[in-house]
Amino acid sequence: MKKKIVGIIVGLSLVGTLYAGDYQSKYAAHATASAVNFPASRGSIVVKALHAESDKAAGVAKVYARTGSGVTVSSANDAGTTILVPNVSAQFVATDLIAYQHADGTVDYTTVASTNTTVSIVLNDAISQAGTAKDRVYELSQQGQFDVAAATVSYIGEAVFTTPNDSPLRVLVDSTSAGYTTVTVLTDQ
Amino acid sequence: MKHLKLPMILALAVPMITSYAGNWESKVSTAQTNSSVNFAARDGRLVIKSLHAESDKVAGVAKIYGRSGTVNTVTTAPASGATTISVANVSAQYVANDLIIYQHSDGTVDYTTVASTNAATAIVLNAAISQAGTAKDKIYELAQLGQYDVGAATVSYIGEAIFATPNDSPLRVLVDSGTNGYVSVAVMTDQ
Repeated sequence: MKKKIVGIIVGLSLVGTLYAGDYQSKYAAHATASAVNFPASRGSIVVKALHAESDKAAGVAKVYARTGSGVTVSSANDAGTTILVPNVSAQFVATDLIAYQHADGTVDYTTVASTNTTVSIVLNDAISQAGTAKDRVYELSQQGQFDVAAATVSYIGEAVFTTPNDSPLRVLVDSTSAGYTTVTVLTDQ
Repeated sequence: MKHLKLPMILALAVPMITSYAGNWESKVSTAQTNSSVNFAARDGRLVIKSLHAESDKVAGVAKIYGRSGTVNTVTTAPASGATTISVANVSAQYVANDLIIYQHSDGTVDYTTVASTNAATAIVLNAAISQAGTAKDKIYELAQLGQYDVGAATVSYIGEAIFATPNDSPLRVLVDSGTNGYVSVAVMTDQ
């Protein structure tokens, strides 16, 4: 009996360690489009605080996450625009929103310019650093929206938004000439 | 053996619970003009649970700073009041006007900026450190990593996680104001 209890406690302790997650914050201040990008982790990313300002009457915070599955690149890519990645079922097509996630967690957001048969895609922006064979490519779609308008707003709570598992998160606030956003998340939930 | 059950369970359970409890800490500044509070870096991340601020400036904001880049340990213990700090600066990590937290080994933090750098072995600060240093003290370069609106008003942002620093990072919150402002911040260490 004693062994069982000890085992349960040790087990719970390990589970707590494995799934504790991390709080992370990101901030962007740009004239017309302030965006922050968080890398995918094993579980969901939960937005705990979204604070934003815009000077645009129709200003909104658009929230993006993966649509479909993330795909591992087929080989290490140079820091360019042509990305070797399986595209057998034409998962990626021109104008798709893309998060290229490096193995170190760096996320490059861009769009697809064109696709080259089933073995590569061409991005509209070069990736920011040389890649590795472990990098992942995620197609994104808008999965949430919060009103900002020409104002400063805060959305704070236990779960303002959650991504699917294994999904990057992008929050974009549009503005006319002045805006910013601060986003805090908890990962691996 | 029966008498050992409870102590053993407690011995395992209590550390397990406390290891995830973190530490709570609050600071306030009523400096009227540009109130700021600085928290020392600890193991893990500092998570803001509450940010309460007042400003009399229409464009008033709470700027949040955390670590930018790598952390360096001083190479020689400086005297109290020193402005020249011996620290590795090989890749010109530090340049003039950088925002700096000098963190003493007892947790005291001195916020200042870099006046100049001296080759790759030292930096000169714009304000003297508040007490004698030790060879375990650390230098953190800061960058603005977050911002919350204050305006000419009193605001409260309270929640599970208003902001989180990177690992091993001090935290600085600065509220700009004209002649009347203050800031009160509560944080928890995310273990």
